[in-house]
Amino acid sequence: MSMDRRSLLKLTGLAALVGTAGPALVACGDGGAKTDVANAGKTLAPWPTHVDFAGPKPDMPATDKGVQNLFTTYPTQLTQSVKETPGDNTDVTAIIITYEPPPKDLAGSPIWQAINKALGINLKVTVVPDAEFATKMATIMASNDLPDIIMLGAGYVLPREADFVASKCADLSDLISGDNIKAYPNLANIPTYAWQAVGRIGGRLYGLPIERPVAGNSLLVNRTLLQGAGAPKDWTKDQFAAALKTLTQGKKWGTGSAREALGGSHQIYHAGSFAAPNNWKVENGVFVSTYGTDEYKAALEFTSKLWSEKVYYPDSSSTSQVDLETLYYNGTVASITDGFGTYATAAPTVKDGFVVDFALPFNAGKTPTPWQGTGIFGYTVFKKAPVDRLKMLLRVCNYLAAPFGTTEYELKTFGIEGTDFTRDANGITLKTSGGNPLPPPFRYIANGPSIINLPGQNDAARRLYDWEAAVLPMSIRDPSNGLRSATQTENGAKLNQLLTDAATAITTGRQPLSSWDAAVKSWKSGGGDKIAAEFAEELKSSGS
Amino acid sequence: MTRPAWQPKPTPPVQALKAITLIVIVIVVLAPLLVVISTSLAGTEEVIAKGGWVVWPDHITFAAYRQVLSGGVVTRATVVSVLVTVVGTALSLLCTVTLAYALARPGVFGGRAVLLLVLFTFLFPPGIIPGYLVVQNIGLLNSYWALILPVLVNAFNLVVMRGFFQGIPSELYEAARIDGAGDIRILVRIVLPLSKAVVAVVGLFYAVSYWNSFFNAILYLNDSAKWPVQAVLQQYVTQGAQLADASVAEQATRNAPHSIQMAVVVLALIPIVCVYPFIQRHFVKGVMTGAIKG
Repeated sequence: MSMDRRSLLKLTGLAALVGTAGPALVACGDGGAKTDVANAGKTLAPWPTHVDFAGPKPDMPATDKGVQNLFTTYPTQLTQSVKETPGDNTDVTAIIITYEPPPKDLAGSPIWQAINKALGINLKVTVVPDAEFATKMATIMASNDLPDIIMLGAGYVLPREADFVASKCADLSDLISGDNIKAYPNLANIPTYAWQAVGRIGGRLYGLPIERPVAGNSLLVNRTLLQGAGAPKDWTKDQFAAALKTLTQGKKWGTGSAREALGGSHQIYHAGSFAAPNNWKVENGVFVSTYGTDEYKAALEFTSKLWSEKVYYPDSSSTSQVDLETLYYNGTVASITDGFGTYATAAPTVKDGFVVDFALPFNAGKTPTPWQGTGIFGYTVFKKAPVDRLKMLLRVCNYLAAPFGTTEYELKTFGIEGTDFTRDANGITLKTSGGNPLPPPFRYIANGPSIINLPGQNDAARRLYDWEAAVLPMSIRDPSNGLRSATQTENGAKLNQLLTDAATAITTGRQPLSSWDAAVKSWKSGGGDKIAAEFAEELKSSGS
Repeated sequence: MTRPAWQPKPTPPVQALKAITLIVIVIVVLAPLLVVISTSLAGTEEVIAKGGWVVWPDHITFAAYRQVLSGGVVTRATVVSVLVTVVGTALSLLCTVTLAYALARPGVFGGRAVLLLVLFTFLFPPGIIPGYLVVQNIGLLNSYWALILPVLVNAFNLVVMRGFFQGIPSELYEAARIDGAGDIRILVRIVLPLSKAVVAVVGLFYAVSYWNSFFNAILYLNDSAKWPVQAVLQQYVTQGAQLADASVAEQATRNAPHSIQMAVVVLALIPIVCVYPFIQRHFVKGVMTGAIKG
């Protein structure tokens, strides 16, 4: 039995035809029933009431502008925030993201066993690596076998995520809205901006926020080099440019970026310095994109000018973020833009090599408007279940959201004293035996408000606090944060890539600044205007 | 490979040029490997000071390997990988050999239909979600069999092996039949001894595929303790990717130094490097199988 070439070619041609026509035919379908996820026209569930946790007194207090509590020492007296065992001795399944190597299994992890005992449940956690998160979650969403607790967000917006949450996840409004949240004090301790960042779906509350500081992408600098170059902390645009030029000599450069950031997040520091709006501004109820403003264009022109003056690390359009950070640590580049959380790695890595600091925005003629981040890492939802089960899951999350200074926080974060960590006058020292000694990252199920605490790096911690106190009062929020736009969900990534590519080309000098207007026009006609209209509708109905 | 009699002996300059070219090619190939090994043996401070890559470490340290190997996670994952690779390769070879043998025989009932069915899977991949739903519905989720059964028979390997079997002279089959041999005996006593090269190369393809697979593990195995070594090692290598909206404490746990990432790369290479010399002679011969007819 054989197959001749002609038959094989016919089969291949048929495959090609089905391969191209098939998706086109599928696109003709309506993709299944859609749930009404818009908030417009709905009765809105009130945000959970915020109640501050009465824990240890910080060395420097948090403010209502988003500045975090600063602790220079680990508390000697811990508070027990949860008096009763939350669980009911049943199995609870959860799926969360991970950025770490996989943890030991339950049998080999005393911490995990201790946490299960403290929670009163058998917590079974599925960890999903960041690189595969979107794909794995798509399969979970498509299957009917959902875990009890599902973490969403982490920088990913999954296809029809809001529809999935509204149709398959539990509406928690009656349990957490308004004063109902007081039954779960640690969840009530989460700042309101985090709940707002999660947003409502169809007017209802579904998710518990995993809070993060409001500080967004910023410029990490080598303060030692900048001081040597005579650059003041409170600098103007020209002083900033002059400092970078002074520090660019030989095999050293004033600044650098990474390939994945150059046309996107790298521009945030400069955009804020030029007083550009944070993604959007609202004028008389109309959403106006930052990309079309003169301020953003001026920031782009400025970075392009800096590039032409060769103060950028030459491989900034091809270097990875990890390699860029290494170049910062060894002094090759004096400044890099990076996520706010990088500070915690930079300070202990550099140690006494130089002074790690965040830069204040430079003044380009108007009062700077540094951009805030979203205020959340992601959020947690529960699959639909009877009310009693939902209450139990909320009690479990309440335990895991215990703030710094509680026995629950210590167990979840550090483990068991003597086995996993030791305690002395300097605070906590982890006993790292190799591999990944920590249990699954339960902080991605629920977490308390983040604080500033860098053991052994009190000067660095204080600098970070001072920076937050200086920058956050002038920082601005993205008005679309927490609002829903179907077009943003479906096409946002593709539309943003259009602008990112244009910004990269302009910054590196491959395209003139005049090409930016055409890129913005394409973005608007490709869906940007529709996104603006959808956000405006949402804002109108949110009462904000 | 001896020089043909009609070809004159190369002149010294030509020999020198050939030698230099070969040396350059060897350096270009080996240099990245040297850098990977050297970086894995360098300390964190030295790696940072030299910009992330070390050509020759000032002080050799095995700290990166100790960190990766201690804790038991990598060791257990390696055992999982070995078992899945051995069992998977054996089962895949068994199924592929028997199916290819059957499809290579003329006049087999339903042979054309089965062949078309196999080629259909080759031309129309199911997609991730349909594949997941099938695995879920037959109860393989969180089972090691989810790493083996969905990929048990590879259509390309089947076609290659079938092509080779078809090249075996029919007279051998006839002679065997005359001697009273049945199909199984013919396969075992005649076909397989003549097919060592193709069985070796298809076996290598399957083994490498099973050894390198990690995506299916992440998709189908919810218990990370069951992950094979590539899934575990991938986490070490991809650590450190920038995370937007990261908390200060969160970022501190995430960035793995280059030395650890390179140690991971070296550990992933070791099994293939150990196995390949033993099957290289079969591999070179077998790669050409199916490519040249007649």
